[in-house]
Amino acid sequence: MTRSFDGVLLDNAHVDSALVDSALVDSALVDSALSDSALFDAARPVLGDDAVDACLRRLHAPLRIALAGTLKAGKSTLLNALIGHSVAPTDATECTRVVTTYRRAPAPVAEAVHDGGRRTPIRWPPDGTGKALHSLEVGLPAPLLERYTLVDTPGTSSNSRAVSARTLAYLDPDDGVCEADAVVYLLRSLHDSDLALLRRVQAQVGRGGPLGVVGVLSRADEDGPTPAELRDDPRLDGLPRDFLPVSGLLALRGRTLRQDEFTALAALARRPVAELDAALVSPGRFLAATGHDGLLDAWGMHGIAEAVALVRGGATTAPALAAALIRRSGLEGLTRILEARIGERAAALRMRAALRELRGRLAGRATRLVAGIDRALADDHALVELRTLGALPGLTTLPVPTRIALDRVLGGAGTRPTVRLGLPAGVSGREMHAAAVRAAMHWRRRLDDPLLDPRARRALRAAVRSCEGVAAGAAVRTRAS
Amino acid sequence: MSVTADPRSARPETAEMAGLLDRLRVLTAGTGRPDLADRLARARTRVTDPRMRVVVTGETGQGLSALVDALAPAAPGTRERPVDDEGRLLLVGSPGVSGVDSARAAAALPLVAGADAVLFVSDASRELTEPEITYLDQVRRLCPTVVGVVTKIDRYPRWADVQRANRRHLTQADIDIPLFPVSSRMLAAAHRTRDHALAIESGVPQLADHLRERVLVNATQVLHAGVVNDVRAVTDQVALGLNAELTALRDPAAGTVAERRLHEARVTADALRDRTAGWQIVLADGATELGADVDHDLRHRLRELVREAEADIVSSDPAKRWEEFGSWLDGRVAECVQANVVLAETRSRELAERVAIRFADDGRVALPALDLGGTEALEPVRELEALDSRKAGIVQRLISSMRGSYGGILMVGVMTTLAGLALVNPWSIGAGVLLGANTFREDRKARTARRQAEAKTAVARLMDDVLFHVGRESRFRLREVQRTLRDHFTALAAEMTRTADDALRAAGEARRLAGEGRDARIAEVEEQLGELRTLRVRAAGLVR
Ligand SMILES: Nc1nc2c(ncn2[C@@H]2O[C@H](COP(=O)(O)OP(=O)(O)O)[C@@H](O)[C@H]2O)c(=O)[nH]1
Ligand SMILES: Nc1nc2c(ncn2[C@@H]2O[C@H](COP(=O)(O)OP(=O)(O)O)[C@@H](O)[C@H]2O)c(=O)[nH]1
Ligand SMILES: [Mg+2]
Ligand SMILES: [Mg+2]
Repeated sequence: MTRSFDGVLLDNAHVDSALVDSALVDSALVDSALSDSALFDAARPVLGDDAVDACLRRLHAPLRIALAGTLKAGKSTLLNALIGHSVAPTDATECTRVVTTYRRAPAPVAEAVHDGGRRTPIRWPPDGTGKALHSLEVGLPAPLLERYTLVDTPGTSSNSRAVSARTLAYLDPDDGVCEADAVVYLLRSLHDSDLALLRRVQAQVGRGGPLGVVGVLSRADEDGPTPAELRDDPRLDGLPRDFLPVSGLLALRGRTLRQDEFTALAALARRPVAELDAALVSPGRFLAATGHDGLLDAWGMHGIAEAVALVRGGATTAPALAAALIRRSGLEGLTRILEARIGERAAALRMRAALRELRGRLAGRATRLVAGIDRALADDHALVELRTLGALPGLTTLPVPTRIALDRVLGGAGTRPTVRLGLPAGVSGREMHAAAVRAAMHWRRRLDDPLLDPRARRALRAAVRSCEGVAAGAAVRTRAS
Repeated sequence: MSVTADPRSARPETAEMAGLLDRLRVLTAGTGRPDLADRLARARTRVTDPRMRVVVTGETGQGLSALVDALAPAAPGTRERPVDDEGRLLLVGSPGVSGVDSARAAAALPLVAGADAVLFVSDASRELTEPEITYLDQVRRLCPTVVGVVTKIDRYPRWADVQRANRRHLTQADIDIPLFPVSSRMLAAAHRTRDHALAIESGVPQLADHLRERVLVNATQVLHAGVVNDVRAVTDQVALGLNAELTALRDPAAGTVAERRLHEARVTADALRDRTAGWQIVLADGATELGADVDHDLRHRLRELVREAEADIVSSDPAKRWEEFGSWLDGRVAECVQANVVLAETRSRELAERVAIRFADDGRVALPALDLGGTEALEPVRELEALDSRKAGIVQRLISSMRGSYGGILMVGVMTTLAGLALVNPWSIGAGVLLGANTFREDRKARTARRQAEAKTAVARLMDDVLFHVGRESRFRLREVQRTLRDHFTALAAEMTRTADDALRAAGEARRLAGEGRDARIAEVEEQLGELRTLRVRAAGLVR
């Protein structure tokens, strides 16, 4: 079922604020990025000002997050939940048929991108499915889109080979790398088709494409495996195995809850328990007992049962129910991970995007300059950290506890020094310095192992350097205070 | 998991069919044909003990177990579960069948091949996916009766849309099967609250009815039709001898006619022996060709896979993602083997039919010469039908011989998995040693090139292994098929030769018989022929 977005965009401050605030955290990294400006200047005589300026605009463009998964994994629903508005069409049967980009815009616009690059404005939601369409682009004034551009992909395993092919062409292009900065991978349960797609996405990470994969166990309100089962599944060897349970449906209903919906749900909650249970046994019985056609469509049987339980449990106002639904949905866990992984390194990531575009435009020319760009990309420790984090699942020669420890010290759970070193907030600079030095020594000792494979060696070196960085920062702070 | 239907309990047609077979057997044994009597005894066993297997399959998590529980409630762990009061439908749990993922699906397909019917399960949370349709397509090639089930309709208000979309996908793939929307959970709730209407809304009773009334009856009909064909063939052959004798008895003086008949019978007997040689050649050639084709198919698929794998190896440093690569390769090998197994099975059936048709064609040419007049039983068209029945019979027997070799086919799945593991380890170890020893001497490029070469060798070794194991399994399987076909048609040919020889002998003896003895024998033979006709007509009346 589809909805138009001509209504008022709801302000869902409780989720977006967490994302927007931490934009400030990475300001320190901008300094190091500035030193790269010499590379852009050097390219001006080769490419001309316009081309270089286009690359530089990347420094201000939001990062790109692609949602991937098989058919009906709940990608569009989750995207709507993240944006806080039912903008992407979702349906019980297949409806996302082309890659659709959702980006910031002062007012809602929708464009079809045709094969060959021509763009034409379209009505939203699109009716039917365009044939020669390459992709769709939707602009919206939503707070989250200020920070991230979201890309909704149609599922693989679709019965239309063309649809599956379009998804793969975006996520794993034959020529070059996927343009997304990160991929959120949704799965309901682990099937061969998921393994195949995950492998391709992970291979893209290894090839310098997206910097990491964030796993989501989607439609988590339904029956399915537990995160623990996935973590222990041997088929995921070498692939991301942390999957965060999220119910996109509950999150979306929470973020877009209307007063009339709440009133209807509250009325249901007041009915005798036995009576409502009997109605919830099947959609047919529910309709016969309540006549709530629209509620059933938007919430589904489980959504209704969940909301009623929350109202009965004390969520007696619309805002309280909205908050409770979002809490239950697991959405905040996802936004936190996205923040730790991507948001906190936004500046470095944007610089990477700009340099990569510059490198692409220079293709075949100015080899010295290209080498310089490569060096800059390779040297930026924030990027090294991200690359290492992305590659961690594949470092199967390292024991799992080592990989978990590496994840933390490399900033996988957040870039703050206390998070990296596992220290309580508010420790003194001196303590912080000592802890960082100890950690650096620990990881350096691990490097002595002669049987270490090169990739593991690189990961350990990155950890040493991260610790040294924290130690240096702490030393500065201690001197200053 | 599978459901075994057991219609043993006295159904009227079954009892009548059994009685009819008993009477015909006595009659046949009385005419000195123990071989035909044995054949009737086997048919009787089939009629009174036809175990119908209904295999339940689909991706894991789609509600297979819940559906089996709903169709046949029983204490968990019980192997045989009666579905209905009379105990005609039994559920037999068999673990590890669910899942359309390549490796597990390969293991499930042989079970499907031996089933009388298959329930394919997919829940209403989404429409059928491409892998599911591909799997269904293989399933229906192996089992003629497939029933689709859309589960969990209690959770998904839009299940009817999903059902419609499924129908669309099925039509597009040219798969024509019924689709039953059901909810195991609604049925459970109905039992709890004693809500009869809810039980009906769950759709499970309708599915059970369909199984009992359509699937079971269909399968029973197929079985009965086969038995009726047996009856026809046996009555034809017995009548053939009796008719030859009768002609000679009635015309003792006109030695010329009898002489001619004798001559014709001799010619026919010779022609039958020639035909015996003919079909053996068809079978031998067909089996060789089949073996070569199946082998070629596997080699071709694996070669393509090697090419794909090598391209992948060349595109980057293989050591970096060797494990991923290994499990990818493992999955693709399983797919290849699965497709190859399906090919082998369909082609085996085609071969059986080809031999049967060859047999029948020759039969039509040779047998009308034996037309001794007098019985409708000997019309050429009927003759052909009777032989066609052998065809139906052989396909059934082929299936049971396939059933016998499940163990072998299942081994393929296990073997592939093992081969996949074996692939990863030796090479990972090799790579480790290599890296340790040569880090200082070799530059990076050479190292990568060397790894790529080693990776290619490892892949080639694995493919050799797969080819060896799967090839051995499939040769073994095909030999079984060939033996089943050979035994079947040899027996058939022996029967027919014997019929012709008997007719020859009976006609000769009849000429020597004189006076009262002859009249009594004529009356006896006429009575036997009359009873044969009656039995034949009654048998035909039982299938409709
Ligand atoms: N119960 C439940 N249903 C969901 C959830 N997310 C999506 N769905 C339903 O699943 C179907 C497919 O969702 P959609 O977002 O279009 O999946 P996509 O194909 O991956 O984009 C729709 O009917 C949704 O209502 C969820 O978190 N819980
Ligand atoms: N709502 C609902 N859930 C079901 C139904 N049948 C099965 N399930 C649930 O689906 C999940 C998988 O069911 P199961 O029968 O074990 O699936 P299997 O893996 O295919 O054998 C379990 O959580 C079941 O409770 C049904 O009819 N309705
Ligand atoms: Mg979608
Ligand atoms: Mg189960």
